[in-house]
Amino acid sequence: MALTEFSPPGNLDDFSAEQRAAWNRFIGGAFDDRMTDVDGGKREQFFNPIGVELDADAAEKDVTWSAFPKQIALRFPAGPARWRAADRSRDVQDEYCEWSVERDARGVVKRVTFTCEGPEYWGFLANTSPDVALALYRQHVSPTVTNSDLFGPGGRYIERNRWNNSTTTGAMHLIQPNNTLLAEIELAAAATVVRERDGQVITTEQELITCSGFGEPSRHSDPHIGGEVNALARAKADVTLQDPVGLYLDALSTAGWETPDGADPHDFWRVTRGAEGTTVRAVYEVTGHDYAVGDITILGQPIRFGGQIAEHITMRLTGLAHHIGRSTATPRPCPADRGGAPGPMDVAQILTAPPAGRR
Amino acid sequence: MADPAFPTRQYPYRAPDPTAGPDPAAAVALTPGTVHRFVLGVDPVPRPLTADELDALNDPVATALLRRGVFPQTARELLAALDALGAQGLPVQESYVVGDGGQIPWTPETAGVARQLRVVVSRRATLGAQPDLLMSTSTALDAPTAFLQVLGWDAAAGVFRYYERRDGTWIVAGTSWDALREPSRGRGPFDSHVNGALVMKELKLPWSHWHSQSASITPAVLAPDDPIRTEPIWTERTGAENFEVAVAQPGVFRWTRSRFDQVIGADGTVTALPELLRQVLTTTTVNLVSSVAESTTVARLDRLELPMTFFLDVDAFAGPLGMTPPAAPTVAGPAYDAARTQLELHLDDGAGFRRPGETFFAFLVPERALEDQMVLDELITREVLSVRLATCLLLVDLANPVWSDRRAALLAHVPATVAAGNDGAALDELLGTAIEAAATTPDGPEAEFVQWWTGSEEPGFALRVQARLTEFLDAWQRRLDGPDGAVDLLRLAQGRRRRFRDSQLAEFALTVPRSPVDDAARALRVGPDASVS
Repeated sequence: MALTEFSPPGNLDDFSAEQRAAWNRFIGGAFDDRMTDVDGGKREQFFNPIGVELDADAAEKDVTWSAFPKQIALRFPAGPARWRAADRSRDVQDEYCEWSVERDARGVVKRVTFTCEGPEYWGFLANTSPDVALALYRQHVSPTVTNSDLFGPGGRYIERNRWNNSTTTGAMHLIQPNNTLLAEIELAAAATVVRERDGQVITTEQELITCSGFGEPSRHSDPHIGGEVNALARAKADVTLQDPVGLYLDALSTAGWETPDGADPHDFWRVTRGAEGTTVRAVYEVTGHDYAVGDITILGQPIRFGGQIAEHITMRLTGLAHHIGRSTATPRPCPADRGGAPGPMDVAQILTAPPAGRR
Repeated sequence: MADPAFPTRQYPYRAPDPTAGPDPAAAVALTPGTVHRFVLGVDPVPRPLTADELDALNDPVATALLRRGVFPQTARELLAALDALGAQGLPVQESYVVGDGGQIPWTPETAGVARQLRVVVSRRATLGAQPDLLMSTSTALDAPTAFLQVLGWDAAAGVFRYYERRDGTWIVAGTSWDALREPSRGRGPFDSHVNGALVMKELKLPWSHWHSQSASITPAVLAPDDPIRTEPIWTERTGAENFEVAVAQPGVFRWTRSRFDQVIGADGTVTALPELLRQVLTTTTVNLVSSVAESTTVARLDRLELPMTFFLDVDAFAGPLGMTPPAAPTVAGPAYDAARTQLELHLDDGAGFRRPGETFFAFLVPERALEDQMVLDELITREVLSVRLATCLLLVDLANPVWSDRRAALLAHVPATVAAGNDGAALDELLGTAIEAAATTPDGPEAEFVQWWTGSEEPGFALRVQARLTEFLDAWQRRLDGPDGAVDLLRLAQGRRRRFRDSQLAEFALTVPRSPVDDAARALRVGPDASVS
């Protein structure tokens, strides 16, 4: 059956019916806007799945990558210096996963919260349902969050508010400039263009991202997502993103972790928004035992940083391909002006605009 | 018989030298359905295990399969046998793919390239558990003669136990302890599992040769009719980034900690201390690390960022020794590209395939191994070795982080036993004094140690060390920016690759690039001023 509406990321139920419809228009518009490549050519192998009857050969393709930022991993050797660097600022947490660490009075890690919710979702939700947003902040970040903490003059939502701007005071949604849903969509769309250089089809991840300019080459995520999507395109498939379009926390590996009482360390990983398979928020916190996260060890080292846990988290998005082997699109050269993802957008303004303005 | 596609992957029961005599394993007929023991160097020929010996094996290979009389003959049978056991069969499975030619697409012209694709399967009890069983095999899942090696963790004994299916039955090839001690050290499975732990040579980002988030091994490298294409262990393969954190690191740590538990007595006495310090002062084995740049992109790069551990043992200095990591040296991309052309770097599979250039990721070089690093960590954590003493030891010939004869010479002064505790004070006294007493040659390694050891208790010691690290890397950077810097860099790299190829860890021809300068470069060393000679 053809998809009739884009669902909210993680199938979250924060939206009213009107908001769901607006979100559907926003995502649909984002897909439609990305049908054209930076060189002006049509991205023939990318499609908006709304209303499309998928062929019997339709196949999902999970793409996974590490949550820990590659640039930090490259610049710091394994150990405390690396973890400290990753915990220093949300702006370095650029693998579509950001986190915040809570410590007790002794400085022992008590809880680490991970989020991969896009700023677009939250910009829209908070600007159209401020009470819902405030309630969610109070539920997930702190019961002491106030309306004025989240909203500025004119009632506009502050994405980098005091409860969502650091690695210590909370993390409600992504704020690192490259961590956006629109970046994901642009990446997937642009990567469906098969490229060639000097008559040779480009197949490797770095060559592709350098040629197409569809993301940030220095991340784990963007080159890999682009490479996997492009592999589908090279297989002459038509490609899109699986609904609900989003970036997800895929898994936590706790091999090599030890708890003081022998409890399974994986039991303390709790999905708090989304669901298994579409997790957009999770918390690592010990409950029901007389110790804290900081008393758990990873390879003998007590957990002192959120980055220690992030090293064991994988992220995921899911592509969708059909018409495999049937595309007639031909490889195109690297564009002279690679453009990259569209710049920052006023999401709330886009979402509240009449549908005709977007479609 | 050995898998013809993997001539080196059967344990070398017979040396490649045909004059070395007959294969001892072939001298006796193995009894099907009977577990044999053949610890190379210890057992002259394979022999059946006694019932008591079999009962004493408590790893999952023994408990789930062999002790139940289940003797799978192929990789597929092995996995099916485990699946049939439900929860007892370690139901959580991941598969990984590695191949030194895993980025060479299949074409009729490259059909014969020895890509050496192999599969590693891990099995564990639950999502949160460690893998207790690892299987390494070729992509020929139904071949009863393809190499099929398995290791299992024996929690009761605190060791990994190594198995191989051979000639229709199963052989116990030894445990982690056999790796450490003569006459089995370096033999059988311990040619690559040098210190008894798991091996993932290309351990770190970008996990060269592995299917990973940095570079997928795609179906494009498979022949059109390769049956592995539709096998779940291929279609559901997991990235090497997961193997690093979920299998390799915890596996190495598991054995390291168990080993320390067993060599430190209740009174704190550490036995077999030289075996431990051997992993600090010598290069018992290596990992391979590279830049994260695809080789084909290097010529277009302004700067190529090089792995820091090629220059300095930064995993130790900025790890347990607590120094601040300096910035890693870089080299101009075009200069590097010109140097590899000048030195005629190329890949050669030894079977007719030859291609100019490097491995998929540029600058793949040996570095100090994770298992040695973890021994250093544990020595400090258990208060056998002080940070101060470790720092002074590793400052000796710091310019050569691997294969330093000067550092290795210090091993002669290590006592057989020492008392742990008090932040390693006993070894400070014993080893510090012994090396000082031997420092009779002004330019000897002992004297170099003493230069650092003297005054190492003063408050400014850490700053002096930090300054030395920075000064050394600054010197390297100046050299790399000089006219012959890139050539010197690659000559040195070729020399270390040549040494790697001398080791039994080097199983495949395509693992590292070759150059006509390799043999001459083998003896190259780095001076304190970052000169290469």
